[in-house]
Amino acid sequence: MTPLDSTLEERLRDWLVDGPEALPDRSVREIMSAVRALPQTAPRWWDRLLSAAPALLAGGAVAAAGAIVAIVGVSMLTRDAPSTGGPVADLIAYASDAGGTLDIWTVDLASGATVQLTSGPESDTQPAWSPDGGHIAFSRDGDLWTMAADGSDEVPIVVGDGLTDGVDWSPDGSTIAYSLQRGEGGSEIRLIGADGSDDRLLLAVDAPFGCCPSWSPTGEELVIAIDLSTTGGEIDLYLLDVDGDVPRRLTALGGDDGSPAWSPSGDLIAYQSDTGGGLAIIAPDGSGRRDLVRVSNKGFASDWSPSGDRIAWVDPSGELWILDVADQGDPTPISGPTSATPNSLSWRPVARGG
Amino acid sequence: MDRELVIAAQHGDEDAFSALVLGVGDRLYATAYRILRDRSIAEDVVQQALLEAWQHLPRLRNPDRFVSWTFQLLVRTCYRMGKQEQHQARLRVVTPRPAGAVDEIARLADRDQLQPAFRRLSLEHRTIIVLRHYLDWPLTEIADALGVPLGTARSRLHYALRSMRAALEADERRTERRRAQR
Repeated sequence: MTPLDSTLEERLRDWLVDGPEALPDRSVREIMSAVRALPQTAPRWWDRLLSAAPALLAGGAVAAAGAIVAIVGVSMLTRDAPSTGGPVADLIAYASDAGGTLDIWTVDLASGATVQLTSGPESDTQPAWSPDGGHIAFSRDGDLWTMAADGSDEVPIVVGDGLTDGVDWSPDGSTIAYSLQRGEGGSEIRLIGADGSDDRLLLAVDAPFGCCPSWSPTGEELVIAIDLSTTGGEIDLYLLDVDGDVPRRLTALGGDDGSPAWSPSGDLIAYQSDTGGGLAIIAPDGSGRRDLVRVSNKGFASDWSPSGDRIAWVDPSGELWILDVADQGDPTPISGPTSATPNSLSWRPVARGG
Repeated sequence: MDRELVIAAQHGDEDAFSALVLGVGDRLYATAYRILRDRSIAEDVVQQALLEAWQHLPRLRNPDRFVSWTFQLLVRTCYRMGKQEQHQARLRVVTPRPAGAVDEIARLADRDQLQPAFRRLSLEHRTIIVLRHYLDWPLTEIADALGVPLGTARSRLHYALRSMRAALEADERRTERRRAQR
């Protein structure tokens, strides 16, 4: 924090104090008048269940770290992933508030057709396809949920007081890696069974940022973005064995690096790089780093196509872009999504039937 | 916030919801005004956010989260309605500065510098500045309200302040050029 920042922040605080503080009575009357004519939505079964969570959890499973609790109800889980066979559309899942609140959507890359998978007042973000394409894990108001790929069978997996953000499914589909923000003082990388069992801590850091695990195709390692600098402020990529060994630093070029995505072949990792001002790739041994394209947004995530020849990301205006990694020509816009959230993106694997 | 009131409102009790509106409405309005810099649009945004809150209240799992949840709805409504109104907002007339004591003049001069620079920021940048420096929220709460990872909230705040500083410096250079031309 520079002195100039500090001065500016103080000036902003003083300035923001000025202004109206009270909602006019007329507005309150208008709200209540409209309320009388506006029906409420009915609660869903899981709303009722989770409202009773404290009682249910009195003798339940409490995660090793303390506050996070995995709610596992065998009867709640539907794990019979549909396997339809036949051609599979090239789909990308993303988060968007095009429907009024943040929800999970998909876009068909061939047609640009979009489908809204979730709805309701919660913030649904960070979609991650299961490797068989049958399910999507996602963050709902900071909790970890899964659902079938058509938006049915929503199941809470981790419910607690931290904020789940980065989510990725292991290559064998058995485990979900996720990052959990525990406040400005700490963050965690955790693993949990896809059925909600065996929630375990892999790495806890005191730094305020540890995020976005992405599995290697072998399932033996994760690449994560963490701020381990003692002075704060620099986020770098690290490799972490799933047995919880000490993380090994992968990038250290100055500036923040984030949102890593391991390529399907395992030989490259795409990530957001401050150094090049956009999307970069690097080999897992730290060699071959190169900038692919400038992206005018600092909070974007990217993901690889199943064949590993293309990378997708969302720009600040909510438009989806795709870059052919080998050709390195101009990125191609996909016009379907509107108001997509740049940090939420997952390309559907094609293991299922296609 | 009274948990019992939230639970009663979840079951359709309009009086309970009215009490909740009175409890949280002022803070929502003050926040919306500071993001949008327009009283009329701020009122519309608060009304819309609270109507959405009423409608979806039965689905709110944790009644203790009522206040932060209404702020989430407010921020999203600010984004939606603020973007629609951005063009009109640019055309509004600036109120002439009243005369006053020396301190007051200095404060108003600072306001006159900050206001145009702030208005040029994106809605996303204005929002995160207001949540952090007006409401004094920790970054975790901001990330929750914006539906973004903590790291994104942190970098967004960093870039919002950087944009604000750049806008102020650009205004300063413009003023100096004008002075030199006289």
